[in-house]
Amino acid sequence: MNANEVLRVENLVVRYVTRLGEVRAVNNVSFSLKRGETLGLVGESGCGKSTLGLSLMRLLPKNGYIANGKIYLEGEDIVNMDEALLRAIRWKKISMIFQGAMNALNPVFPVGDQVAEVLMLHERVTREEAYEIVRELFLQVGLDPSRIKDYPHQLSGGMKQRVVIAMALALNPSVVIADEPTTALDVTIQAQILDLLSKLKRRYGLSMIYITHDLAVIAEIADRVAVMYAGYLVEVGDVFGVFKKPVHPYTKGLIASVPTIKRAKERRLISLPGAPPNLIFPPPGCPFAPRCPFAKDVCKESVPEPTEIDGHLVRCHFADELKDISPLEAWKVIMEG
Amino acid sequence: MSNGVLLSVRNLRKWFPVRRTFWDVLTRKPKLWVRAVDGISFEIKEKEIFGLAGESGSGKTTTGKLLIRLLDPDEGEIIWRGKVDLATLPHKELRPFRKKLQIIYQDPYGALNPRMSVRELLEEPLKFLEPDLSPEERDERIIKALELVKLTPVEEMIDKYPHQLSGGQRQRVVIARAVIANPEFIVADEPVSMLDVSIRAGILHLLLEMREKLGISFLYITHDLATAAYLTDRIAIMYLGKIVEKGKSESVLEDPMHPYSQALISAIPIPDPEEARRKRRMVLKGEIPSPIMIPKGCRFWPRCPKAFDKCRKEVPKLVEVEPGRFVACHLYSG
Repeated sequence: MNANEVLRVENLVVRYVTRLGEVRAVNNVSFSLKRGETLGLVGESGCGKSTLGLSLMRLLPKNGYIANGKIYLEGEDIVNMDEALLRAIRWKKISMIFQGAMNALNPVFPVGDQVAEVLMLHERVTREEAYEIVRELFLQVGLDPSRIKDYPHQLSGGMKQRVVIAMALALNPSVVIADEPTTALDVTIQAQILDLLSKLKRRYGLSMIYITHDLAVIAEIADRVAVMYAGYLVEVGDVFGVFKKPVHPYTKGLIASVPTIKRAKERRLISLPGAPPNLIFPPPGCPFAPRCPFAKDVCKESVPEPTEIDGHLVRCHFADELKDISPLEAWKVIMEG
Repeated sequence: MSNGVLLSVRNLRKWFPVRRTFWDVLTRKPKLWVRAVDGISFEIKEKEIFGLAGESGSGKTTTGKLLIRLLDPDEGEIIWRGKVDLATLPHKELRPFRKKLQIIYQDPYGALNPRMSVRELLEEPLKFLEPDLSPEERDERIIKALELVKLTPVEEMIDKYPHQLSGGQRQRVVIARAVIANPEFIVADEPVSMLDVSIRAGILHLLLEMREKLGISFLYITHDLATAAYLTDRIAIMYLGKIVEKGKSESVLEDPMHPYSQALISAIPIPDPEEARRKRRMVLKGEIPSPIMIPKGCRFWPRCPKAFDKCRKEVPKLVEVEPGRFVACHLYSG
């Protein structure tokens, strides 16, 4: 394992047991995260991106389980680790900013207490020392340290999100997973939070997995992008490359569907036909084949293996043929139809 | 005459009272108001898609509800085609307008009764708004509406229930319901914000088509300025119950003049990593104040990087700085 790698995921398979059958939420996912890097994990609702985040924390709900694969956190596989050991590494080595976590702060305790609690549970610090660290953390996330005595209802949404970020950073973890940390916030507040995260990244060399459905946020914050569809990573690559020359037809479609402020009306937006597959009874073959304008017989028969094209890892049988086709060109068929 | 103006809104105001406890009344605490919409004016032309954009709490949804009288305004006028003032029309006389005015909400999951099939969902507004239709005529209209919103094949879709449809298909049912009685004006309140990005354009294109084919005018309410840039002809930016800037969408969004519009637009992430890294972002301090405690003077001054003395004292008027371009800011009022 490369010394520069903080996290390495190999062939991860995650399933949920339901009355109707097993949901194949994450399928043979492999990727790695370098120290100081931000990996943007992008996908639409139900694609498995939050499940992937939760499995990295080993915090899957009761009916979910890791069916296969390895998760190496600083060289140590955590897939088979027992709960006692996990408790020692959660928050300390890997922490998470949960989706909607700002609304999960306990309303009857001051916010400072809730951050201090994380410190006192994991480190041998006294109450006074813990509060000293919390004040320092508040400064770093742009909160007035006098706010530690405030209750959640006295803080605005943006401020609560800063508290949650302080909590995730409290034990100086090697990896932070941020699951849609700005989705419920207004754009001006989202800008403040994105600013804060990139500042923290520059200052402390934070390694982060940023989960979102918003491609524009990925373009702003990520160094590398992983595009997820129906539980598979369909394209992984450097952020500039993926936006400039997306290879997978789904990535091309996503990019061509995002509106821009400038010259908005000069570009016709794409809308992908159909809907993502049911993950209990997924189609055989490539999960994107039913919606793909380039699908051939082979796509309906076998799941493509990841291949390297221009430095991207792409799961597509025709990656090589499609790599030079622009997003708009690729989806022209749909516009005419 | 109306000169192609469908709706002319003048000085519209809606304040909501803050509930007082018995103790507050006894101790004569002053009555407080949420000034949701605080005197706004704009016009919507025939076949126009007019955008109303702003952050949460800016009053945009309240404005939409006022325009079709789902809420009664406290003050102001809503003149329909230069003739009727919808703002003061008694409920009885509003009846004929109910057919002309429709609304599409954000949540296609909550807007449809889960126990009704697509056919029943579309029958309901027709029975109410056009009671004289025969069952055959109704069926014909339902099929036509489903074809219009591209929920095809119709024979397959018509007997489905909401849970059998995807988010995009549900929103198409919602739109079919809104257009089935041939309205002239639709308030579309964040119609795509709950949908996956890759299918949003389909719904936006559908709204454009409704305008072309049926001549419907729209008020498009959104917090997402990028979809507004794609869809709307003109736009107004709201902040704390007031319009701070309005004009042609291209000019307002590509070259904003009001410091708030500038900050709002610079806060939007750009889906291009190279451009995103070149850009210098204007990060606003603080958050929108409560609409109960509105700052004196210009309501944006506590967050404004360009505020000066006058801004703390005087409320800026919305003035025309270029033909068709209005800004409410002392920087431009000379």
